Amino acid sequence: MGPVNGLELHGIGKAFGQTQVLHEVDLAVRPGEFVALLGPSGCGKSTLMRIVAGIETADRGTVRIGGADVTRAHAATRNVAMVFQNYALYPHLTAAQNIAVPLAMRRLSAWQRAPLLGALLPGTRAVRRTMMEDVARVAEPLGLTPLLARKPAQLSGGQRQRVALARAVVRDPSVFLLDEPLSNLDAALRSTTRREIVEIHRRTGAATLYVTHDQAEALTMADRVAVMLAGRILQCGTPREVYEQPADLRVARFLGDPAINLLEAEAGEDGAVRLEGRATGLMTRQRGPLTLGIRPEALEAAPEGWPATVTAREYLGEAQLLHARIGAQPVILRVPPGLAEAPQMHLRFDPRDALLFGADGMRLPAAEALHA
Amino acid sequence: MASGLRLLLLAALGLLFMAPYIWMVSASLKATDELFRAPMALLPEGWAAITNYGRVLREVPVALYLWNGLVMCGGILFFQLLFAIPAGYALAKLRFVGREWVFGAVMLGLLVPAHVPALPLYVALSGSGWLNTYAALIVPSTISVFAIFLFRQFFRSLPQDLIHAARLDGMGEAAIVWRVALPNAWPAATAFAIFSVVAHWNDLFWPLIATTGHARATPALGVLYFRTEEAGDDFGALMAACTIMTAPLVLAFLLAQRRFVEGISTTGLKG
Amino acid sequence: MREGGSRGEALAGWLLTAPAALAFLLLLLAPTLAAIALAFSDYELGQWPPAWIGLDNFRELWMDRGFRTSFVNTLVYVGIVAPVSVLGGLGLALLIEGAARGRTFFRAVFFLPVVSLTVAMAAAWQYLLHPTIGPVNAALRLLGITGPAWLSSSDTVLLSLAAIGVWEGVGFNMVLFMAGLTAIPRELREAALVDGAQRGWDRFRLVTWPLLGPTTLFVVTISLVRSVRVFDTVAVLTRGGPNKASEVLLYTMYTEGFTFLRLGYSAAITLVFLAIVLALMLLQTRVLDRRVHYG
Repeated sequence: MGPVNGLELHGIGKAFGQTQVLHEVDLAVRPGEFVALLGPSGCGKSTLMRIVAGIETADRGTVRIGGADVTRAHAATRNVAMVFQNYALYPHLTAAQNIAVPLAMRRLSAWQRAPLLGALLPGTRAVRRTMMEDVARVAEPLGLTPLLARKPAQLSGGQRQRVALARAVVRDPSVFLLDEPLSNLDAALRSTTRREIVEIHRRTGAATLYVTHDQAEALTMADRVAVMLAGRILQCGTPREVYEQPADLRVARFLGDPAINLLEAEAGEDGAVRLEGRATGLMTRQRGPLTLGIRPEALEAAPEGWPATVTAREYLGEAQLLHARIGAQPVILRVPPGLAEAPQMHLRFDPRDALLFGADGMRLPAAEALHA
Repeated sequence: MASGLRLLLLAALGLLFMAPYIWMVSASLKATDELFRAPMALLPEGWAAITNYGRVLREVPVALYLWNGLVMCGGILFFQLLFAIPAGYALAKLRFVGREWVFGAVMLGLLVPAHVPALPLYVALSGSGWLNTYAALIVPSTISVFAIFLFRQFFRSLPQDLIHAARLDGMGEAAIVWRVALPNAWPAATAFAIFSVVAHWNDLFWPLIATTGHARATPALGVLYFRTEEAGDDFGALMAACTIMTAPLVLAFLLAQRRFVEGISTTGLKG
Repeated sequence: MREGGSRGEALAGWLLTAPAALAFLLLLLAPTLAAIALAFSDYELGQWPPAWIGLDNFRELWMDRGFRTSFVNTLVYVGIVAPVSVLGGLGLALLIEGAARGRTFFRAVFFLPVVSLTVAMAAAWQYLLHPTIGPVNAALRLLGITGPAWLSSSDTVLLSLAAIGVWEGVGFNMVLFMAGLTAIPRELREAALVDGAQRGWDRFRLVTWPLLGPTTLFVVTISLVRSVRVFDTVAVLTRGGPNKASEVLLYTMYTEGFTFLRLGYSAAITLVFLAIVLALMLLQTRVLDRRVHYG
């Protein structure tokens, strides 16, 4: 990919006291790219974002923005914009004044910002006028124009969110950070705001890093998804790559709802993978016990295959989930809602949809999981 | 600001704030002639602690002052809680005619400093011959509108279901106050207790009015008397007396620092 | 809400408030009203019945040079102690809040004067400020300066008392400001960083100061009311002297009432004192309160 400008993180390490929260994290976000940093809470993703913003400093490693090393640079000089989880709007300022803060901090000198006195200094007025033009420019597409004179307490959650977005983009940041921006919105607002964020990202063309614990957000919005667990980025790839070709068991387990079925299987002396004594059609160079991963939607009912006992059903509307057992191993499968009810059935799957994991938890590469 | 510089500044200011304590203790250990000769020296050349503290203990009924302070603070606190807790509960959780009037009176009472009713109270106490008694020290402070206000605020956040459950269990309102509400109000009660004790232990105004002579003198009065009557220029002994009288509350503060700070900052309203 | 219980509930409400209400009437309301009534009488202890003299006491106050001095002294004292202890408390809180270590320790150090016996500490200050044997002047002598007679010269006495007042009260304000600072959401300070507030001063102006608004208003009011009530240090150290240079309202009220037993006159001073306190409270709730709450 060559030297990418945008955001580059290399070997980032961070500890709080005795706890190592980030281990040797590498990540790059190209200009115009939208990368979601996905992980459960406490995995270190927010810390990583705060290191990019300059709120925290890394113990080890480098942060480069636009090719320049900013590891030790002050947050104010990085040209990074951030949308906080709770929006972090200044409660005493109007929406317009909130949006103008990053501009005022950059375009006005300390003297020009001073109360009373500042307004008398030459140039202050002209700068303030252009600032307000810029505010109006970003407010318009977000539908904030009629709300600009209000204070945050007079705005709804969704409106506050959009003020926070406007404040972030008003200065054309080179890196755009979003920290769980949808977590405080209700479901209906969440999907519209999702589209708005993608739209804003496309307009600004900044390198965007989006932190979330919600895989649906990550998979739908991002160009690439970086999956982070326990302070390490385990895999970074397109949404399809991380979902369909997870690097290891932890990624496979974390993505997908309901979670992937992980079944104990065995590779015989001939390399053929058997599940409950039955050939799966998969071949591998490994020998001995393995883990077979099958997504719920990859399992289907069939006239023949693995005999299974259905233990429970969940009706979802567009589909239903069946909880079943193959031998003693529980599985979940997603089937059409109209499938006839029967306590006993046979299950099969296409070997191309199955994933094989070695004893160390790493996925056996495609070359090794040969299809018969 | 560099954190080293910050600590240095804090240490310098802290030393400045500690200066009165340091010199007080230091002077209490020095002989009088040494105080005049070398005012700057911190450590005494000849230890006169026994002379100074001995003189205080011999000439001043220290134990009596401390006991008086204890009786006064204890008595005031006991009645303040006795009056304020049921009233606070009733204002927070019961609906009765006149409740708004009572609460209005509480809010109005918050505005009036204790110095305002002092004159008529003095006249009344002197008329009934109560001056110079523990009652004179205690009674005027037994009603604390601030305590009522504090407990009302605290009880309002008590779940209504808890009270319904207690009623269903057959408890009367008085039983609910002492057996359900109070055990849940310990944070407010401790905070108020610390605030009340600190305020009255240190108060000079009312004890100066209500008592004369040593028999009912509080620690604050004791220091005042010793200073004017006995010590003269014997600063060593005076500082020894001050050290003894300051010690109890300061030690209590050092032992329960967090509670003190919380107690006084959450009840700061009247401080 | 509960139909059957409302009568019992009302009864319980009255019974539970009755002790407090009785104590309130006897010990607070009646004496306060009596004090107001006394202010319009010529009552002196032992002379019964007093005569109503209307506004004569207030007229006398107006003409009384001693009272005027006392009034002006109180204003000067408040004018020094309130602002210095508010700003000092804020400064200390910010210093401690940002300190890498020793927060609890320093908090205790600056708070100690608040819980110390005022009378005893006043005596300690008297020793510190003693013109000949006091360490303060001894230190000044080392620098070649002849220190003033702090508490016994009419030029410096009020200033010295104010310094003691600040020393006594600043820790209290500091603790209130520290509580206010911890209530500021961390995200707001971080947002200020990211928005380009590079210097500490910019972040203070953008976030800390506006969000401390309610705390500051509270601290200002408390400090004003506390310093108007100055009494202990004056009673112990100067008794209003020298030459009335440290007479303050409450001390004047005390001497008029309890030394000269002119209770009517003393009550009139009490009313002036009460009026000042009420005016300060009104200023807080009516005028300033609206400007510091956002929401």
